[in-house]
Amino acid sequence: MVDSSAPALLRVDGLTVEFPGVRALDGVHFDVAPGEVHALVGENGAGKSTLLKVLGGLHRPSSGTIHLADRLYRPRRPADATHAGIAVIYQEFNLYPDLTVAENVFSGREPYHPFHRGIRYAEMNRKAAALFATLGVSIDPTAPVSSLTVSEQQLVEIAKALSVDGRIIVMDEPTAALSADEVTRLLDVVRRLRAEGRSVIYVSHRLDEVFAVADRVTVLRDGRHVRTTDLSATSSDELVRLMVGRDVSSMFHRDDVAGGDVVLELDRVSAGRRLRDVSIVVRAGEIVGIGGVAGAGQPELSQVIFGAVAVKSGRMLLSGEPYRPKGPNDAMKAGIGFLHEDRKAAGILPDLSVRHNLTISVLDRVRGLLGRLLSPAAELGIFDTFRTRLAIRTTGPEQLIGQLSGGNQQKVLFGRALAPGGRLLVLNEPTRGVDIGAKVEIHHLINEITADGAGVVMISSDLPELLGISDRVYVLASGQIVGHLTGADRTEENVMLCATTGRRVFSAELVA
Amino acid sequence: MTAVMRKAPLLLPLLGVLIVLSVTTDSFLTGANIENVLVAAGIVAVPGLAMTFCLAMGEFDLSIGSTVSLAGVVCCSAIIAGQPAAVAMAVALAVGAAIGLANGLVITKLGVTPFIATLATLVIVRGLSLAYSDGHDQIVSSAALKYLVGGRPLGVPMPIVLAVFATAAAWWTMNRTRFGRWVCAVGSNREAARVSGLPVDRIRIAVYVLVGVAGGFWGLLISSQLQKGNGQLGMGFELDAITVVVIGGTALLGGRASILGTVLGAVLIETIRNGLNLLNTPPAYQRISVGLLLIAALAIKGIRRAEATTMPATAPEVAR
Repeated sequence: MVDSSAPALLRVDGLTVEFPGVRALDGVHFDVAPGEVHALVGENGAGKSTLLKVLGGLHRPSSGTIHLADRLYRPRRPADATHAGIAVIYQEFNLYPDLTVAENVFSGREPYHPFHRGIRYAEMNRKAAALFATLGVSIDPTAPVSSLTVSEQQLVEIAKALSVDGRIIVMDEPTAALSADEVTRLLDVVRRLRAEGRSVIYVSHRLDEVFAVADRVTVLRDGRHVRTTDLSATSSDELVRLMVGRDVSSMFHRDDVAGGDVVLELDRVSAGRRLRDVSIVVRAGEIVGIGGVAGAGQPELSQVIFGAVAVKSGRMLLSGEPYRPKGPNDAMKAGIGFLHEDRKAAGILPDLSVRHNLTISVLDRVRGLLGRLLSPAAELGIFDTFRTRLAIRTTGPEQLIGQLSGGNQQKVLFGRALAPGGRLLVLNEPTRGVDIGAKVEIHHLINEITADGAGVVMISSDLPELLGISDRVYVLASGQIVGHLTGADRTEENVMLCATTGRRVFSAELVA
Repeated sequence: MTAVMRKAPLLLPLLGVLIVLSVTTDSFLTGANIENVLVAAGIVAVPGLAMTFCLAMGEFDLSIGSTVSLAGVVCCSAIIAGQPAAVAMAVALAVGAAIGLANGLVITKLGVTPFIATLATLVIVRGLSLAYSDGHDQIVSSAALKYLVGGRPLGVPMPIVLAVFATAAAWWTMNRTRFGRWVCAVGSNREAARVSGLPVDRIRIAVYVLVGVAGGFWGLLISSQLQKGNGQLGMGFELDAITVVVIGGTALLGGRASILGTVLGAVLIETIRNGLNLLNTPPAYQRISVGLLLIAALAIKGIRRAEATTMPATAPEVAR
């Protein structure tokens, strides 16, 4: 434990950041002791990202001060932060995918020969390997970054921070895309950093991680400081209440649903590089969860249903009819809605308005005059429907989607998937990166969708979510179905058992 | 006024140029000269409008200059061979469409990046045009072909009439039809467009065909003006077509388009060229001016963006 009364290494006072029309931070104060892991929590839009960007030299505050080791710290550009020993690891990594691990770690600071100026690759690779050794991991310094997993890329970012001798390492949602094993490893790395006397500012939505690794936590809400406390003196229920500012039932629990006719059936489907002999059944009104560790083939499974990956063998049936989509377009026409797991890369159309983002998949339904021209009135009708139904917080139909918070962007994408009015919805990580309030709303929404008779396939790496709202859960491991859990068998232990050991647990016939 | 400036940032520079030229020359502000400017602007606006779709999609087509030449050569030699002008023109447009289709297929089905694919087509089609014309002028005398540029329905020069219709059609397609929305969606985030069920490949191919047809039409206009086809015509035209779009404010990275901006861009460029002519500036300096204008236009955008990013990197999240 860290003595939080020790003189602060970093001290933020009265920090205010204003953007046109919005006060993103409002007089925030906050301090970090040497060798402390300080968690920063709050809903999306609470100001965490803005605070990080100020520390990283991307935003300039309108007022307030930051002191670093009792000296005024006023970064004007990212290089100032690096120079001061503050390394910010943003959610989107700043890595060159085609360069090697070592080249990325030492980018701009490559050791070179004093005479002919050639880069000393052997020395650079050796130094990089040494950095990874201090982190307790092994990554090949000569491998191109593009060949690494997301979690390894994160370790490269951390190594980069260590290579400039970062005193304060700031991590923004470091575990958002990691599997359970990778999270464990990352938390170990964070503890090692602390043991070396470095400070870590740890931003996360996942409170279990915060309790596992942090010494103190600061809660932000609507750009304001709400509370800073030792983690030993609080509970996750209390933190949730502080973040949301109201009581939230922390997880939605759904009553068991029998399910109607079979909507979708996969019969021994093999596809892509991973999926082998996958058989699943989805009934009308049912939420079918797909669990497993990252890399078990979940995205491939959703993409094969959505027509983005071709079936190699086996067959799919949609309401009993053979279903052979040639592409997402066919899936859409067949009434299947799809939510991609990567909101930014394959979800939002950042240059388009909320209205246009909602209607893009159903433009043939909003054609009015002459059957060719779009009818703005019909589009606004769709906008109004979904804005109300999904409680999308937006200034209006013409606001650019990029200006919404993550949770509201996700709701718009939900609307887009729902707009075809389909019988089947394939949801990939429906609440990744959204705040707790939006998460609960989205869970209620999924429940409502099934009440209207649609079948839902939900892939989620968030176990409490998967178990809390799925009626049945299939578990994938190495591209095969290794478990089918219903009723009281739907436990975290059973899912992890199937997923990590490949042992088969079937509480019901595979095809129900 | 500020709203107008945001919608049409070119209006102010255009007004400035107009005032300067009206003051410094006697010959600029005459009916005949203004008409010259608008005719020239109309001719470059038509392909510029098609190119706007391509840039809105986040891509561009370098092959259009060669298409101009081949379409002109094909049209003129067909007329020389005794075909009716209407047939000759239709064949020329079909040649343009075929080039666009080839571009679209190579880009979508073979996965070649647009820059390389259309650079290759630029060279290939130039070669075809030189081979087909055997290096000679294909001189024609066709009233129908001549009407494309020389005609004056209701006293208005044809290129202006064509440009007005093309602008209306392009604006309508971009802003009021499914196709225009799809083009912007593909330009904004191609993967998201694909996941949203849009026929992304078909959209891209269609845009290249559109640019090809527009290039063919541009070739007809040039041949109409010169009354000949030639394997050397249209050199560097691809840059003109892209310049008017970029100066008009359409983002090179796609996602958004300004149809009216393209038209204003065409008028601005041709006004400056005309003015430099009137001031007896040698052609070499005209090129330098257009290049500087291009940098200036994008620098203003770049500076604005830099200002925007030192504050919020993206627009701030809406307070909940």
